[in-house]
Amino acid sequence: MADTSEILLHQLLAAPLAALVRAEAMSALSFLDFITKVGFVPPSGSPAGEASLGTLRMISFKYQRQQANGGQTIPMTLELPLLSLIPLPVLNIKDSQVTFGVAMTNIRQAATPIQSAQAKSAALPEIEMTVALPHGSVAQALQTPVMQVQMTVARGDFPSGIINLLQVINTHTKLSSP
Amino acid sequence: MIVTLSQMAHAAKEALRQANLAATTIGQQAWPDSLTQLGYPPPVFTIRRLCLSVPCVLQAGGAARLALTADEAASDSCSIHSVVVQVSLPADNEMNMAGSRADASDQKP
Repeated sequence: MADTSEILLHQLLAAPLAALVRAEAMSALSFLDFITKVGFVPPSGSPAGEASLGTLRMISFKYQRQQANGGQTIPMTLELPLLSLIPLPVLNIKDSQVTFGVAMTNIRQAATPIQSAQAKSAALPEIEMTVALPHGSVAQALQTPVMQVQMTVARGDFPSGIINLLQVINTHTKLSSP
Repeated sequence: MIVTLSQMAHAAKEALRQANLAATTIGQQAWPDSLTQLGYPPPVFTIRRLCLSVPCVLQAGGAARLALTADEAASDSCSIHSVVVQVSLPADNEMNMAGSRADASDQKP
């Protein structure tokens, strides 16, 4: 008897890929949250429907600069965006290895041939496999369910929006004297 | 249902092809529009290689383990990289082929 939780093999294979995309989306949203909290002073109130990061968070330091003629020193203040001092954690999943232990529940003739060329030919009918993640009696038969996931995560390229932001940041470094 | 080796190989190829197709569609749907607008396009993950190890009962008696490796060859096609069949026939079988093994590989379309 077929397991009630059986699914087609390709559906099981596609599920981890969809999970990787969702994981990347969560990672990207976390990165945006980081940028927003660290790099900007939140707006006091933005118009309804308008997303605003607020004001670029700046930091400053003071130092003494000696004049070109070697004479007196003058106090200077350098002001620059905080984000320009922090390594930005842009992380991407580079590759993933997924290993399943599944129960093969059925092999049956495909309901509709996928390849039209094969449908027209006198070749043997296409088959499709249904599988289930082991549980209950199936798990006992397989002794133990196995799902091993190995993922390699690496720092990714900056998205274009962040590159634009960094360009703006670079133009906001200000040097002033009292 | 009795199936041939070629049918099993074809099923594995189709499973790989359809999984990649479905993952692209699901991935685009799961990706937030807000990220796309900020310059984050949805990532595309692709299964490059699928290895299946399938236990079989032979029609002639005995058992076999079929190891299939399918590769993603292009966006809309896949190829079988290797097929390994390990056969265990009953001890009283006249052919006495216990442990036979056959390999085929690198059959690109």
